[in-house]
Amino acid sequence: MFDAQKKFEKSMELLTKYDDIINLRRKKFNSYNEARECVKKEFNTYDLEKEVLEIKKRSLANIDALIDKAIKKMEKNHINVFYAKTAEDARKYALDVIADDKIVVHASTDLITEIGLKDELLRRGVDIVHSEMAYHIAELIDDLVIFDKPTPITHVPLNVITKALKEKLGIDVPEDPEAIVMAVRKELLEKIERARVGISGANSISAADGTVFTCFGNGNIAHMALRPVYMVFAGIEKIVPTLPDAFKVTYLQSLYEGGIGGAAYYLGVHGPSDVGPIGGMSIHPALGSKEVHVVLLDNGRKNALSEGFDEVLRCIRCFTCHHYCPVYQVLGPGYGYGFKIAGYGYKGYIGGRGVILTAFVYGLDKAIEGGLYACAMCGSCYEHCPMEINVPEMISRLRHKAYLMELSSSK
Amino acid sequence: MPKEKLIPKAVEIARENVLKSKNPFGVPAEERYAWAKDLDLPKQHETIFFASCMNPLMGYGEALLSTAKKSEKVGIHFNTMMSLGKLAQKLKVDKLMTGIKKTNREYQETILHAIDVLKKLNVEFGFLYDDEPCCGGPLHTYGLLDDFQEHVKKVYSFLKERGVKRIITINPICGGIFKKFYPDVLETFDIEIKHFSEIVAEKIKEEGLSFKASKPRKVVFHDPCYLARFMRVVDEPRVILNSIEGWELVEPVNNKFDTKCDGGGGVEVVYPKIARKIAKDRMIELLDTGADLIVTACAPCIMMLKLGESELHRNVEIRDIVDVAYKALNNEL
Repeated sequence: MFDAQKKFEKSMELLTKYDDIINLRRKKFNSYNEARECVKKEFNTYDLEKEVLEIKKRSLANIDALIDKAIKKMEKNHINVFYAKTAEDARKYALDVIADDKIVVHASTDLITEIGLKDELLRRGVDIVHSEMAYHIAELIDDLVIFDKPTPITHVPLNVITKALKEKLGIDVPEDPEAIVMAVRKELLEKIERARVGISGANSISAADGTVFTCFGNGNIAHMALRPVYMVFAGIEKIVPTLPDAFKVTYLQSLYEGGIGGAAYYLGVHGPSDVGPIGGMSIHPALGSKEVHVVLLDNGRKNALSEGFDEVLRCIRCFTCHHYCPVYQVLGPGYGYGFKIAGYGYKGYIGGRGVILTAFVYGLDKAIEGGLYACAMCGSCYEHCPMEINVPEMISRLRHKAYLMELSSSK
Repeated sequence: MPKEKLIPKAVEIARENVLKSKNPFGVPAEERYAWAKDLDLPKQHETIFFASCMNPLMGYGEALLSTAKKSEKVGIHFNTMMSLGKLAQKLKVDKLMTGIKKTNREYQETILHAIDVLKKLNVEFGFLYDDEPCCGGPLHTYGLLDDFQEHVKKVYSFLKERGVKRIITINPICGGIFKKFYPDVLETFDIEIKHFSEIVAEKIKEEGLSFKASKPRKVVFHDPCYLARFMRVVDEPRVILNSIEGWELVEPVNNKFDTKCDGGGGVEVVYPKIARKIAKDRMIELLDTGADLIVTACAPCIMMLKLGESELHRNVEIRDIVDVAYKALNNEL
């Protein structure tokens, strides 16, 4: 048996033990897909899809110029912008910003895992708090099998949640969804209030004016952006030419994820909060953050571009591909994370497209562990992807790369 | 301690088998074409019928998957699954071989049925017998792209030498590989690729054919990924099924271009456990339609759906569209 398979098999034990979660995923995913088709009709998104695809293609073709432009503009906007070539560079920068803080709050972003920041903060004993409520709860439950990326605890019975709340946080609540949310809300808001640094990812960045766009349903990213220090991590592929371009990317993502026809919030951050001129001076902060940091991360992404894998960076994270993927339906985020399903320590991006990105940011060996050979090559993701990302074709090329690597290592 | 392998062993085995034996199971040509020795089809023709390596040898595929399951149960990881063809032959494990041969014959029936249907519909064609090349699908799937490119060129020049202008296949995997991936390697690829169902549907429409079923049935069609998404054929199998009076055609969620894979496509070899779950998952979608007959058009799909059926402890008839067309034309429905 090959090395990755051993680890993968181990995780399978845990992941595929529950037929009920697979059944629930099938029902949910099919209904998401149906809802997304309705959204397409209702909002007539066909032209928007084409426009966003062109924006992404154009941006990736001019990535160097866009990065330069975005950096210059952000500096002008009083944003501390840092271009990180490697995960290590990004981690060091972030650790400098965080300094000796004992608590840090963050929204959903895979980048803090990618650069090893979460692991390092945990090692240092920092209380690192996930501000998205469902994940905040998910992280309290031992050995949790995540249901799906945007909805991690859909399948978890209420008594499991209340038990975890009692054991981990000392909160006693009845098995009632509203009571649970109210209790977690109170606890989470208190923690957010205590944190100096709030972290989020970005859905898109406009190079022309240096605005960072996010969309979210929880309200949590608004809180992150209002902390004294707001730190954003973004892969370089998030940069697009203009503000309308950036909004279109984020808007399309919000329409397709979950098929609910948009997000509760769209936030564009253009710089630290500002009291504008008093005594001829611009003063920071006003009511929001004093400092905004944006970390632009390469970490293998430029290699993906130069090796002809630019399609993988077109992704707007709408999760359409996940919901049509037969393998993801069975494994959920385990298809990509390989093993260690919730909590920390997983290395990788999820789903077929995620496995491809993993190969560049974590390494080909991690992509194999994540499931490079689990793809059924059925082409359903490509059929439905609004960004026309040909996952099976790239999987096949990566398998070729892996084969050549194996050949040269066995010599 | 020997160095751990980075990639699955299946990759190297598939490579060797496809390149040396012209099929992923490593079975020699004598056995692969034994069923065809009494056929009286011309060896040279502009249109050739392509039987593929799957239908003649699917017994090996089924044996591999059931052996994988059994070996998991006793705690052995059956990691050299694709060697089984060779292994079984070498060891002459009689019981295993008898089972494999029996299953092979069932799938081979489908090939004979296809030939019979095409003849009855006055389609003229030839057959390459043991000269039939492997499309090289597994090379593409497992990313053996240098080998695939070389293979494509060889197969193409062989087919051109034989004067082949059109291929009719019952295996949409070969069809999809030819139609979708050969032109990526050879821009000049100019052989017309047709699935069996396209030919039959065309005749049904041209001649206004319809058939009578002896009893009413509810039928669901499972679109094979390669047929729908790679060959872009979704209406033709439905034309065939709709031409049968008394049968009601129902659609599952995820049909036509949205069809959901049943766990074949290479994953069944590397991670059989996952493939079984996928097969079961798709089977539930198909059974949710209330159909009592599942029709598909791909030997590996039949293998996987049978597996899904046994995982669910259900018993429902699963048929290839070829067999349906055969029975329709012979008034056996």
